[in-house]
Amino acid sequence: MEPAAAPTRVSSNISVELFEVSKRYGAGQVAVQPLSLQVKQGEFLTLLGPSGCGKTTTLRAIAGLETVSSGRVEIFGTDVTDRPPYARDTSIVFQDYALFPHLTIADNIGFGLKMRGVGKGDRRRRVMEMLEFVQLAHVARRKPHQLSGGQRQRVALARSLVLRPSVLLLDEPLGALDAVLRQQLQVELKRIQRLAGIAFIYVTHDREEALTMSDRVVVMRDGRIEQIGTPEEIYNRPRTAFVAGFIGQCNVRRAEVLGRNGSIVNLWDAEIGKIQVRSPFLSSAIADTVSWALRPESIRTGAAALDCTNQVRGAIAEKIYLGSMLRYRVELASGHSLTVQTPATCQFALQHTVQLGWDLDDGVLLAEDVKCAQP
Amino acid sequence: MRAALTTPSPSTQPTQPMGNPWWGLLPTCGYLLLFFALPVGYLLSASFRATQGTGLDFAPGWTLEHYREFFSSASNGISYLRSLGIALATVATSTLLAYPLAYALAFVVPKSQQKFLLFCTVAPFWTSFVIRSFAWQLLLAKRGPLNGLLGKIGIGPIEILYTHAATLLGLTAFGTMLIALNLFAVMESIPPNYLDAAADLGARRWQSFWTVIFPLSLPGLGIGALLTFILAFGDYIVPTLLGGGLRTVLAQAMHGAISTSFNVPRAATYAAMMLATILTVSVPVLVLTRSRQEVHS
Repeated sequence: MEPAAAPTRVSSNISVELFEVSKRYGAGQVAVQPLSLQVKQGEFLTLLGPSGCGKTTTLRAIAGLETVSSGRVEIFGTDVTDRPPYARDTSIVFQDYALFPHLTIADNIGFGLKMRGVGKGDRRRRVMEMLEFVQLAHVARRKPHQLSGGQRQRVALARSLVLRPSVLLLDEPLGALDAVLRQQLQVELKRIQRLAGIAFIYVTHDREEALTMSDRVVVMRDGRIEQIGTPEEIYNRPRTAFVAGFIGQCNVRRAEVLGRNGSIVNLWDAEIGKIQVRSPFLSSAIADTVSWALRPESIRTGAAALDCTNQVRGAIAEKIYLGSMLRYRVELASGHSLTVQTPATCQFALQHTVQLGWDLDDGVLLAEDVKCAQP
Repeated sequence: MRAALTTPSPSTQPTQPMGNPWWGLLPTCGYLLLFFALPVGYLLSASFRATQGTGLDFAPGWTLEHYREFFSSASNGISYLRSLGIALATVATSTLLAYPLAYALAFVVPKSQQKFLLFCTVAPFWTSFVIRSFAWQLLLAKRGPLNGLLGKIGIGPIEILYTHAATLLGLTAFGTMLIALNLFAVMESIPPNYLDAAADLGARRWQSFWTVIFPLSLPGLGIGALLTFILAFGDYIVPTLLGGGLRTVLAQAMHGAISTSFNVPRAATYAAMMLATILTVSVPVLVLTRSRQEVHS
C-alpha cells in the first residue's frame, strides 16, 4: 500500500526538496547517487559541475522528464515523485530551446496555456504581456528559425514563465550563445528571476555563470554533491580539492599537521616550510597529511609579501598575460612551483627571484577526507 | 627535353583539365533522354495519332480523336473515376494504418528492437508483387481462411475477392508500409527535446501527437502518400488479380486498348491522362512538402 504520508511541511519557503534522490541506468550505471537538496523560494540555485556529473539528470528528475530510481521529489511540500511532467508546477528551459519550429513565436509562448485549457482571449492577452516583458512583441508572428540565438533564448524563457511556474528549471540555457551575449543575458536572467520572485534552478558547467548569478551554488561531481554554498563560500572556502580546482585556478598542496592553536592550524609543507591557516574544523590528528588550497590571486608579491604570516621565495619560471592580470609560475627551491596571479602592472622578469606571502585567511584547509556535510 | 626542364613541373602545380564543365552532366542527361524524355515523348505523340491497318501502325497526320473519345465515353470516365477513387481510398486507409505503425516504431518500441521491427515491416514486400497478390487471392477466396474466420463468428461468407474492396485491401497493404516508412523517417528526426518540452508545458501524449508530431510529420506523409497514390492509380496487377476484370480501372482499360483493340494511340491517350493526373497531384504536394522542410532545417 501507500507509504505513510510525509508530514505536512509548515515552512512554505522551501520550493523544491529532494530526499535521497538517485538515478541508475541499467546495471551499475549510476547517474546520480542518493542526494538531498533544499531549494528556497525565490532563490537562484545553480547546479555546477563537469559534464556527466549528474546535474542535468537531477534537473530533469525535478521536471519529471526523468524517473528516479529511489528517493522523493517534493514541490512546496507535495510529493510529486510519480507525477508526469504535465502535472508538475515546474517548467524547463532547454539548452537548444526546443522551440516548436512549425509554430509562430506567439503560438510557441501560448502553447502551454493552450494545453492547460486557457481560453483564447485570456491566452492572447497573457502571451502579449509576456512578449512585452521579454521585449519581443515585434517578432510575435515570426517562426523560430527567423530569430537570433539570443531572441530564441528569450522566447524559450517566456514560453515557460507565461505558465507562472513555481520553479523554473534551466538546462545550460546560455550554452549555445557567444560570450558577449552570454554576459548580457546573465544580467537579464538575474533581473527576470528577481521580478518573477520564483526559484530558478540553473544547470551549468561554466563557473563564471555560476558565480555571477547564483544565490547558492551546488558543486556536483560523479553524481554526488561536493559542496553547497554561496558563490563566496564556494570560491573562498572550497571544501575539496575538486571544488577548489573547478571553481578557478588554485594551488592545491599536501602538508603535515603540526598542531592547532584555537582556530589557527599549523602545518608543515615540505616545499614551503611551516605555514598557518585559519580553519574552523580539523578532523585530522597531529602528523596526519592534509590538503590545503591557495588561490593564485591571494598571494602577494614583493614588499607587500613581507607583512604576511606565511612567506616563501621563488624564481619566476613562466609568465602568462591575461589582459588585466598576469599569471606567473613561481618555482620554489625544491623545484615545485606555485601559481601566482598579480595585476598586470606587477611585472617581473623571468628568472627573477620574488618574495611571496599570504595571510592566515588566504590558505584553506580542505576537508578531502571528511564527508561533506551540508552547511 | 630542355624546354621541359626549364618550365615548372606540372606536378608541383596541379591544374585541372579545365575543358567544358558541362561534360560532367552528359551521363545524367543521356540517361534521362534515353529512359525518360524519349519514351514519354513517344507516348504523348502516339496519343495524337490515328491507327492504320493492324492498329500498330500510325496513319499519317495528327488527330485529337482519342481525346475526344476519352471525354465523351461514359465507360472511360467511369474507369478513370474508379482508378482515382481507389487511389484516394488507398491513400486514406494506408495513412490511417501507417500513423500508429510509424509512431510505435519511432517512439514506443525500445531502440534496441527498432531495426528488427523495421525489417519485419519491410520484409514481406521483398516477395514479388504478383505472388503477394495471389496470396491475397487465397486468403480472400470464398472458402479461404478469412471467410472461414468470419463464418465462425457468424458473419458471411461474404464476397470479397473480385471486388474493389479486395483491390483496396491489396493496395493498402503496400501503401501502409510505404507511408509508414516515410513517416518513420521524419518522426525519428524529431528531436526528443520537442516532446519533452511539450510534456513539460502540459501536453499529454495525445496532445503532443497532434500539436508536435503530426505537424512535423507532414513532409513524410506528403511523400509517402504521393508514392502510394501513384502506385495505386496506375496499378494493373492488384485490380486484375484481386478486383477481377469486370469493373475495369484505367490501367485495365489501357491494357484492353492494346491487347483486344490493337489501338496503341488510344492506350497512349489513357497513359497521357494518367500522367496529367499524377502531375496535377504531385506538384502541389511536392511544393508544400519542400517549403515545410525548409522551415524545419
